[in-house]
Amino acid sequence: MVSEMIDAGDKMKERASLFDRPGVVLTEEQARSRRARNIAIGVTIALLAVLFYAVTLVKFGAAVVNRTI
Amino acid sequence: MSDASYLHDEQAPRISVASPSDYFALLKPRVMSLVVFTALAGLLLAPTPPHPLIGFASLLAIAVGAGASGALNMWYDADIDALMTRTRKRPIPAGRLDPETALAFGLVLATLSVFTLGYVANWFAAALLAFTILFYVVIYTMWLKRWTPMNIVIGGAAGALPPMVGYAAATGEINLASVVLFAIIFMWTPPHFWSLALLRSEDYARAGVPMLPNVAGEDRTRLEILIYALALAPLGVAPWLMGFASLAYGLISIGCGIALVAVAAMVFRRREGDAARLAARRMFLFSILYLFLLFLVLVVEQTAHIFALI
Repeated sequence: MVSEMIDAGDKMKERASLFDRPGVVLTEEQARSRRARNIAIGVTIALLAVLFYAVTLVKFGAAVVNRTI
Repeated sequence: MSDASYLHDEQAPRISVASPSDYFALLKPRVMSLVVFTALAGLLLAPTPPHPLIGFASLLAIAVGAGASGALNMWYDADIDALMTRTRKRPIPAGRLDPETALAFGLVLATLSVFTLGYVANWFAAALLAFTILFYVVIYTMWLKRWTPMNIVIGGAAGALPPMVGYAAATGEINLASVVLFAIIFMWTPPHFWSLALLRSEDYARAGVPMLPNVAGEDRTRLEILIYALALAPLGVAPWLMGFASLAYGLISIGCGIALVAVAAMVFRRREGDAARLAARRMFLFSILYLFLLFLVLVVEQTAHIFALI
């Protein structure tokens, strides 16, 4: 009984130790390429947002100011 | 690789080292530039040109749609791309991108481009763009390319559709002029790619792609190139004869058409050795110049016409 409890305690310690490990550590190349991809995605989304905003204004035309305030 | 020693190899995540330029390469930028250029010619044919921003956004959507087709083509053809000298440095066979990523990238861009064109222009143009992407990916890439030496002839329709998509984006319909531009590119595609196939026949044979030189022989291919050039030359003059291009276009298209037939005749006559390879190379390069010049004149003329209207 006591030995089973000790075993269970050891297993819990072992599992807990997994969380202390560094996990997936990116190499310099992986980190650099991920950063470049993130920047490219960010810039693309920002430009798309601006484009859709401007296109919407153009499609609305003069009607864009025709509203109750 | 990553420091994931507590994970088994099969559990360890595959972490990409692909750069944005690898994703850009998936879009086949040179094909995309041709698509943008020919779509612009179609768009400018519209009697009433669209607002510049709407025109720009429409062309962007068409370009992204073409890029999506390229990405989906590279996803499906990664196995044969790895066997061909011309294509083995592409991102997937080179190991910089995995096929699943390319598939997801292509599908997202295809969906985005179609819905964007539908929103900024109209849903008829969007449907035509969706058809173009489907035709290129499913009919050409998945079906015709590995099955028949007529792959380029029928599949060329996908590359020829952008002027019609451009015109449809501006007007919501298609007209005869845009169909003529389609026909010019459609007739231009086979001699252009067959001259490349003459130069790269070993490549295509290694990959098992049934291009005309590998299936019907090089002599038959040379004859077909000449026949198509003879059909394309008068077709290239049609925009002037039909009244939607000027006399300057007419003269340039006649001159270029004569030159194209002369180069095709050279390919037909010179059948062996370096002279044959040089002739095929000239045909490949001159066909690019031919199409570029014709559409450049159309774009310049239509732009001048629009500025005259303003």
